[in-house]
Amino acid sequence: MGGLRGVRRIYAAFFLGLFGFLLWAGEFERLKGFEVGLFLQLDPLTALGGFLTSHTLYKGLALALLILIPTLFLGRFFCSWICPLGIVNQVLSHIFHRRRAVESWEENRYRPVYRVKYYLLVVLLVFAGLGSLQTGLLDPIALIYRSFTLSLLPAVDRAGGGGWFALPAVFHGGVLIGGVLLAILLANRLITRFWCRALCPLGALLGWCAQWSLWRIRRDVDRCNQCKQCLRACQGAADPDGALRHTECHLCMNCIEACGTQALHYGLAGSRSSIGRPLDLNRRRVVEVALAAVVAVPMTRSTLSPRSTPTPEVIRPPGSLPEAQFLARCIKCGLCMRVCPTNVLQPALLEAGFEGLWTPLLMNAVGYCEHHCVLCGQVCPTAAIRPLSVAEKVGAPPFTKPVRLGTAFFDRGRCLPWAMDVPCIVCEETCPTSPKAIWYETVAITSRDGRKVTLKRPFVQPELCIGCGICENKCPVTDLAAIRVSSVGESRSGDNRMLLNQQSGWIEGTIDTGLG
Amino acid sequence: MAGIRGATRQESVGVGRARVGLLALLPLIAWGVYWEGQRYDPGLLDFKNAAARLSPLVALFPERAEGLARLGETRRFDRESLHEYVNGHAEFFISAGFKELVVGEYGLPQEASRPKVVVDLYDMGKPLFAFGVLTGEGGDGGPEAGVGEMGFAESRGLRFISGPYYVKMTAFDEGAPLKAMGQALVKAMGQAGVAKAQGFRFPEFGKPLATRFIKENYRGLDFFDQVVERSFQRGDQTIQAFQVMGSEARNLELESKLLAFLKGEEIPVERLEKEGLVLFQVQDPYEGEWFFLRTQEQVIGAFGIPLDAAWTPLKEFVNRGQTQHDEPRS
Repeated sequence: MGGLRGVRRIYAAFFLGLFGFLLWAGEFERLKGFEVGLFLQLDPLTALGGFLTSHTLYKGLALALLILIPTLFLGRFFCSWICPLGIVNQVLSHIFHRRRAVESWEENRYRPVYRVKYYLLVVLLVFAGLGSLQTGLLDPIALIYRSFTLSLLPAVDRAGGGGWFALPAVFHGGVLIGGVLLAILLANRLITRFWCRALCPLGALLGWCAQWSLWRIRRDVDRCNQCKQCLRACQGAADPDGALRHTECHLCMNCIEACGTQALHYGLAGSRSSIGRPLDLNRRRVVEVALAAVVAVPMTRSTLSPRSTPTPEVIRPPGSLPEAQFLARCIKCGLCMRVCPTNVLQPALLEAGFEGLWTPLLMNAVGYCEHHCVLCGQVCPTAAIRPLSVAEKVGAPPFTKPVRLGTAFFDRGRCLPWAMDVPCIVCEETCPTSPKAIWYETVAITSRDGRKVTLKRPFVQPELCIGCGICENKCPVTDLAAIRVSSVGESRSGDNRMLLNQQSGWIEGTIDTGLG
Repeated sequence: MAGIRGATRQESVGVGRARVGLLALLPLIAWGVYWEGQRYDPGLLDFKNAAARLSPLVALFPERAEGLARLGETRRFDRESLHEYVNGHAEFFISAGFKELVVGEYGLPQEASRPKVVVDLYDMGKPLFAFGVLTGEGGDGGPEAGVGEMGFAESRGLRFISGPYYVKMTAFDEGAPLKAMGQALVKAMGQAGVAKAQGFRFPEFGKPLATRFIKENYRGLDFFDQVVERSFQRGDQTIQAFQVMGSEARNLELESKLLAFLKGEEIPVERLEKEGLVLFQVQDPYEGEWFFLRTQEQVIGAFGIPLDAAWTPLKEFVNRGQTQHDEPRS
């Protein structure tokens, strides 16, 4: 078994395999009931961030306590034993590691720059405290889910390693998302586990919790001969040969295995154990960073965004909370986009403002919202997309109204029957509502060459339209459809409505999120 | 104190147990993930509404028929998804009362990718609506199918109605046993097919040419619905007769609306009483002279034939009574 390092390696292989399996199972044809968001549910930063923004802890996120509480006693085990990004970083660091001993010592020494992750954590938590959930941008679990789903797996599919998606998937700005992950992975070439040591806010949170741990790596000062073999093997820059910074220690157990004098052990303190270093954090800097974050939050909101003004292209998935609440819960993990059977869900760039970066939007040019599909809400780990039943979505009894994502509008200048006297009723035929939201009027006209042409000119009945976007997606005017959906009339908003509808009284009134 | 390396023998045993305990956790986690994965609602993943999944029509499709085996599961389409199967033609069915379509494919089991016969079973809700799509899809021409209550054979196909069902069978090989399969399907309908299609009799104005059903807006009139229209050849003239079957109250309402419309359009209407029958003769500047009358069971009328010429067959028709139904095609 090879000691605890051997167990750690088995755990790492298991959880990396589990991560891969859940990614594979996230495709809707394989989904069944698998908890594809398990790693996100185990993620304490997701739970804490969501708690600060929404003041609730959504069901599965309680699993994060399984990580948080043991960390208080055992130390930062998550980073090398469970975290997929940490494990990948560790493997790559090992592969990239071609340094001489003296270089390894220097490289593995603790550096002040590694405090940055704590400052990033402070920024993210202040943002969350002020209602802006941005933890998902840097949270390693959300980051790796997003990167694999929106960039790496589609790339693998295109390169011929198909089977990850039922249909060839494309994602808006996927290359940027993949580029971030690539940069993180390549950074291991320069400094071992650079991301984990310097930038990872989840690691910072766990490091902060680990400062009180009873069980930790201990060094027997009598046995230690300062050979620095432990330092050479250290993955976390924890200075095992000297200061023993247990807040930085990932519990990879490499140092124990590397020690030739058995001076290191993992456990409770002995009479000859060295004293560890406390958390290396400058309180003044923490206050400065927190103040900067306090200023930054309103700045990010001072731009045009759906939070302030309804934006036509920001059409959220069915069951999404009102925009402010949605942004307070969405961690940009991309699970909803992974499971979407039509690929309509796409990561936003700046369409939804800075706060909405990489949150899910419907882009009907790519796909459409399948009428009887509610999978995005079923897999959302934070309930930014509320889990709907099919009956609730389509408005079947006992529900009286369907969930509306927006409203379709005709562009008569591009519509074939309206502008070109060409018969076409594709939008009317594909409209899934009953009765159909698109209807047509039959007209007989004389064309330019004198032919008698009978046309069916389509119209939208807005109170029946659910904004699913299938009409836009199937419209034969392919580059810019002749019928397009905008967000107006969406169920989740009490404000984003047409004045006419407010007067006619089919406004739905108070939005009940069902989440308390 | 306790240490993983350099520990006492007793402590090493404890640490070893801890390792075993840690490793034992992994299969438990794997089992938990698997167990959770098997607990789900399949309905969330097939994107069809529950009504379509529970369709009783599926039971009408036998596993084997006339030496052919059903290839795979039947496919079901409802109003929302019909366009996936008959893209470009869905509105025709939906506007005619369509409720549901079940499609089954039959062929040799060893050639599962090459069906020999495809059976489309449309539930139109009412026999009249089924009749409407039968006549509307291809007219009432072609040889009699000899299956169901009415139907037509085509070069490689068969279309017929039975009760509220419209069945369309398409063969991909010569000599496919369409008629026998159709009869088996009608037999399988059993009680479902008991509701006979309404027979439609018309006065014998001439040689029948075609019959069709118009679900709504007959001749552009939004109150004139569910009309059966039959065209006749009489000499070199084409006559179009229509009738609406309904309750006495509904017929009375239709007559009132028709008269009100004609009055509103300032089209002359003359009320005639002839041998105990009340008729309305219309001098229509657009349609020419036409007439209509109301009985207890129907409203009937005709375009393109003078009342004098129509009187004898009309009188015979009324006297024969509405309980005696003949075949839709004579």
